[in-house]
Amino acid sequence: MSEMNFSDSIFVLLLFSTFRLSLPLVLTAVGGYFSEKSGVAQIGLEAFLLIGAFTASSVTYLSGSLFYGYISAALASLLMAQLFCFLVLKLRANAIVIGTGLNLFVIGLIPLIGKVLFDSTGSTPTIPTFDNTLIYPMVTLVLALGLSYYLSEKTIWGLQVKFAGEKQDALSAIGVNFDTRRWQAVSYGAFVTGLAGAILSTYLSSSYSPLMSAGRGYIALAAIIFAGWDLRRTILISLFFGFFEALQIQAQSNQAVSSLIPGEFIQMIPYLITLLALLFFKSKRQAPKELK
Amino acid sequence: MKRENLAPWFGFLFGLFLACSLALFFKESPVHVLKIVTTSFLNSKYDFGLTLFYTTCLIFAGLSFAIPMKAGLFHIGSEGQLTISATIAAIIGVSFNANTFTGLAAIFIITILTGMLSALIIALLKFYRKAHEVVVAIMLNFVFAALSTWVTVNHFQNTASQNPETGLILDAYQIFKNDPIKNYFEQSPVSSFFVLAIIFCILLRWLESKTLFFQVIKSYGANPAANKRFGFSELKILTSVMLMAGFFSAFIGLTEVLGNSFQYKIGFSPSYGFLGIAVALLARQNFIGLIGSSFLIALLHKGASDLDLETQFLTRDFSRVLQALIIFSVAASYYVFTYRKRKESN
Amino acid sequence: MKPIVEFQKINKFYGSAQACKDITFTIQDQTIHALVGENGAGKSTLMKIFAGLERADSGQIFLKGSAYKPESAKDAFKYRIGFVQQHFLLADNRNVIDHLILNWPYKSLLRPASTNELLKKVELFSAKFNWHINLKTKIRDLSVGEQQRIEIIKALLTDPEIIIFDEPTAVLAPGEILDFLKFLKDLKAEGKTVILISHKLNEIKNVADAVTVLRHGQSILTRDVSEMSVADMAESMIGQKLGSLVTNANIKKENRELFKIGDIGLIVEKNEILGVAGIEGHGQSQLIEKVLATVQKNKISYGDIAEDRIKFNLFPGLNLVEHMTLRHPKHLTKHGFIQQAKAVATTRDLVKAWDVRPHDHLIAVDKLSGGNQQKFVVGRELFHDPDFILAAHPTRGVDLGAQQMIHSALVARKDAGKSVMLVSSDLDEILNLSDVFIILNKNQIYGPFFKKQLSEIEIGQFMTDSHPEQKNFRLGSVGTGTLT
Repeated sequence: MSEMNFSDSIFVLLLFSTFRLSLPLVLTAVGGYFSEKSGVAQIGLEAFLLIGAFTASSVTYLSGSLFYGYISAALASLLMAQLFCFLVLKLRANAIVIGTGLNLFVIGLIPLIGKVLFDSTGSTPTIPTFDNTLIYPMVTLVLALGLSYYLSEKTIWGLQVKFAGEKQDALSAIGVNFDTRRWQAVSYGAFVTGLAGAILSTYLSSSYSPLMSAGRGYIALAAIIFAGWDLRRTILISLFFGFFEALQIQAQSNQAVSSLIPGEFIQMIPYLITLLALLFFKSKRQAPKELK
Repeated sequence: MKRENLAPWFGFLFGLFLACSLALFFKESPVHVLKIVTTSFLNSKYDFGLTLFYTTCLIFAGLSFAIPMKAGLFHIGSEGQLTISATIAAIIGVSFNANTFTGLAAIFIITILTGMLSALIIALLKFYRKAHEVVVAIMLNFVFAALSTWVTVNHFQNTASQNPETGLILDAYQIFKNDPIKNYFEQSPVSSFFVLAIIFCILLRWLESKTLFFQVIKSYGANPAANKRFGFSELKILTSVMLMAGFFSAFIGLTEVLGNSFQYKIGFSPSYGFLGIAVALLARQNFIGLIGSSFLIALLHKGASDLDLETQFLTRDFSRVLQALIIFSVAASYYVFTYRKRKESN
Repeated sequence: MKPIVEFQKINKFYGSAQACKDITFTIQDQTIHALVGENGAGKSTLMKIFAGLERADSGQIFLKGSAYKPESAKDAFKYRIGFVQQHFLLADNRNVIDHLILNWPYKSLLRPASTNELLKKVELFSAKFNWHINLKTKIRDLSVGEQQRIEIIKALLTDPEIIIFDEPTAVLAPGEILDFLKFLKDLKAEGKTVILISHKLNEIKNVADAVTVLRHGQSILTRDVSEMSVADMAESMIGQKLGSLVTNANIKKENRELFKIGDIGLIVEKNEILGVAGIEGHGQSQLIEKVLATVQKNKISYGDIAEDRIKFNLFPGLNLVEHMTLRHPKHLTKHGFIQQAKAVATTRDLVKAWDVRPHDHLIAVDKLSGGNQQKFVVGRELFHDPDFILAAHPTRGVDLGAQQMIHSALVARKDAGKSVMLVSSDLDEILNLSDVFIILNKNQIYGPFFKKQLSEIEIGQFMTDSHPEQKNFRLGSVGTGTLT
């Protein structure tokens, strides 16, 4: 980078990396949105994201196919969601307890599997660069966002999911089991979040490294709440948070900036913004009534 | 003891059984794993002391979760509070030069205040802005982690070490090195803070059964609207449970910095804050039961960290899987128990 | 006449409690069939079974002569049965059209709803009943009456042959009730069969063709309404003759103010029962809040029989002794410590005096039946002989025996020189017990009126903002809170 076009390139880089870094965040938030909207509190997004990331890089490395990587990531996350739903919807355990437990579970399980597969409890082996590395996240993004929007805002299923979150007895009265809708919503959400994990380990990086989600599951949750459980706003706010992540990475790689503002502070920004928002704006939008 | 109160202990055993069976997938014998996990704390006095050290921290974490839970609050902010408390304790210990008494008093008071104030934020946001305590706690956990990392690495980094940690606190403040308990357990991490933790549990149990105050907290947990109608102050209840929660989170920081490592090491906590949830659920928020459940989780944690040496494929990460499975089965056990009871009554 | 529904030996258990015992009766086609009984007599349970929301443990239902065994609400849809439940199944945060789409048949879950026909139908209803409803309004912005209309439209959307109404007039004013009863007759004229659950026997006498009385889960009798008087129905509901309430007719010696709510101008006097009439949700909660705040500020000892006992008076999981210490810390604690022996003795006496069953002071309060909960609450709130007693819906969900016990206790308090404020949506209760009363409508207070000052029709006009002299009787406002 030459001195001449320093500011230009910073700007372009920032825009591009905002977009890049927002990809997993947006999809995770969309995944979490479905669960929360159906009335199931979701703090297990980290788990879905991490298992997706690990599975994608492992399967891609072992099979040599990015396609299998993405699919298996979504399926692994879906599998975790079945465990979550079984405990929460069938055995009536508290969703927050199980979400916390699921995060612990996945964080513990991944190194054990890694040790068996690659004799390493840390990262997975680096996957080769494919020609279509860029295609996959783009296609995933467009498909997942389009499908999610259609399902949530246009279909009868989406309407029923919202009623499961707002007034479950209204569903029983038309002969629909609200727990079935919740189960489906959580599962679909986990599927999408698993894909976000795949993007994380195969596009933003070339291998899985421990805890690479770096709290994105929680930021995504913050974005959903910040957006007042509205899908469009959830997406916009995830992009906004993604911008701060990009800013932080740019700042860290830039001596002048990082001596001025420490990276830790920029890292804090999404969390601080959420806290300040809770402090200053009393949202008219309410949490789903049945959310627990 | 009511039958439902036994449910979590059966849940615990089931979770343990499940986790050990999982060892089969990793080409290990479940019996072997179970033996290591459950008996390694008996290997030496030091090992036993280490287990008691974990027990100490888990009792504090359990109290920090259980007290707000009595008022119906789901408090997962202990992790952030203990992080910032430990950082403050170490910073004062490193930089405040005074005699032993003054210095220790300063460390105790300021650390405890730090813990309490950081927890108070959750109560205030809940009361004034109706913000959900779980969300606020998650945000604060990240903020405090980032803050303490920044302070430690940029301002108090131990120059003699590659690891992100502060320097050692002044010699004058390291009085727990000569602690009788520590001496008995061959200089293991345990210290007199263990005794303190037990005393707190007994004291709380006594106050709980005798005072109106704890009954008011319990009634708020059972029905906030009726509690308010009875004329009790919601603000007072929320702030007092959160201040107590922060108080006990701060004690985890003190136990670590004054009683164990004499410095703040980033990442010293194996997420005590979250393990506190398991501990409290297992004891069903009973303050005396907490001592037992903390010891159980502690010995498993200690045992699992020996898996690195004792087995080929299982590592200390297995500890988390074990804890998670215990959380799952304990959380589900109550339903399973009452379900069976319902069936029998029909 | 031909039968359309036949219930045969329907049994339903909840745990060891039996909600329905061999219920057997027949409903004729194109009639209005009333179902009466005390709370817990099994009316709602039976209708939930009929609408597929619950399953009977044994027994059979015949619909137009053939066996009908609903597995879920979907079956009820299929057999064209509509159900307007007592508690509205509406989501506050969603708008009207969402609710209608939800109840509209769909081809595929994964496709958008086809709303053309739906909208046409809604327009038809609006025209027919003269209801104007903005489909984009959120439920939380609708009044209770409007919400009920949404529920009715929901039930009518699928063109049912049989429509069940569970306590539909509880939320309506006297004037609105007349309209509603006319609406039921219209439905019948269109060829529909209506099943009406109500505890207002006068309405049943007015509108229904036949009545079935349920008592303790059993069907006692089914008759033509023309063959029964209101008193007959009441008698068979409770299984005994109703005793009359002994009230000491105004032995008031002097009028003395206990306290006054300045900004409303409402004066609460000693030796008096002040009734508060009005449709629910027209400012009762705000009034109660104001009254309690005033009482607390003036440090007047008070009893609080709250408008919603589950929500405001009881702590699930806590036992009766704990409830007593929480409510009466002045008597039962010292320096913040509980005086256990005294608390236990006091509670034990109270349980006996009020016959709270089972006689166990350590039972968790949620394990008690509704009637016994209320007896405990009333006993607890009268324990310290308070100068002021708020009694909001004090006999709701309570059997007639306990009702009389509670009414007598309130009258006894009054006679002892205390003040009672009786809030109730049951006009009979207000007119029977109170010395003076006020009427609430849209957060405005009208009155006070003396016992016989207004006819029931006039009271109804005040409740619906349609009395010619409404303005002249306006006393004040309880605030601008939303009507909920």
